[in-house]
Amino acid sequence: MFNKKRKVSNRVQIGKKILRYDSSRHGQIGETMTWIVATMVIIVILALSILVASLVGNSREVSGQDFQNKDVLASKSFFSYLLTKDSGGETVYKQIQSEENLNDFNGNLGRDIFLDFYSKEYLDMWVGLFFDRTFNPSPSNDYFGDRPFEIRVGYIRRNIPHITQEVFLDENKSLELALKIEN
Amino acid sequence: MKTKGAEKIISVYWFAILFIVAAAVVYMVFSFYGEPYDVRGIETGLLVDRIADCLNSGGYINEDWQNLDESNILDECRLNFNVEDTSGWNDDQYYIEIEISEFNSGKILEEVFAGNRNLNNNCGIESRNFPVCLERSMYSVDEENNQYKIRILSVIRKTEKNVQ
Repeated sequence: MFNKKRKVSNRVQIGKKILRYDSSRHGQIGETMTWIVATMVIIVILALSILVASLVGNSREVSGQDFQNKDVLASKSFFSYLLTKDSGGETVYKQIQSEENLNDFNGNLGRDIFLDFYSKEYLDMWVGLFFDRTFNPSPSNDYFGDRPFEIRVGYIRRNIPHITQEVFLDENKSLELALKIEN
Repeated sequence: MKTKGAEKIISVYWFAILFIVAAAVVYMVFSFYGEPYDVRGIETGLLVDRIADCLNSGGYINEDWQNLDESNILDECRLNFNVEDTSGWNDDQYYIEIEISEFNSGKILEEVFAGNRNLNNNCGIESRNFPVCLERSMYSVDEENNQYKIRILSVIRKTEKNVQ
């Protein structure tokens, strides 16, 4: 009698165990899937990072334009231009100082020098007389047109990156060579 | 509740992931920093600027420009073409060419060369494994108001140090 009872309780226990194993198997599969997906995500992120690192690492050319804030040759050309004399023996500097604008001689000479030498290296350029820059930030002349280095949207002004070389005529006026490096 | 066996498997998994991440980080660092910086573009620019400084001062052309030649240009412009003793280099990694001509007529008045002339043949080839060339021009005048165009070409090889 006692043995019979024991046998029955064993069977129940075995049955319970089987039931317990069955329900946990679903949980294990779900957990494994989570780990696999997590591993895949980690591998994909690493692969992307490696790809980006190798792409960026391959283009390690350091160009002069990355640090450019002046152009030695253009500046020297500009100073020589200002020292050039016309047939009357007057320098371009003196001419512009007295006439307050470019004339045929210095305007065309400026175009011959700067457009010929530097138009391939820069997006745009301007040479001219710069008056009061607060009220007239975009002066123009017949030889180089408008000074295209400032964009105005309403009251907001944005400077376009450019290199300048300036020679002051007095407190408010200056002669400027401006070379545009970016749009 | 996790069994001891499952915990062991998870520890192994974590170590595997840790190893993969560490290996990937090391690979990324090597691929990013392993490649040398190619600074020849800047170097050619500096060389041209140095020659321009030597030929034009205060807006006027150097008074002795007619006496410049292959033998004295390096001394006059305080240039030194010696390079480090590496990859079989034999102080032949630089080349400069200066041409001074009349501004209006274009008539060539003076030509000066220095360095390894063979490097000049590779200019125009767009490849990182070839020398880097930079040609620029400058306007100048002398005290007598003669106008000049000065063309400066600088070429630098140094491929082994700047490109892998």
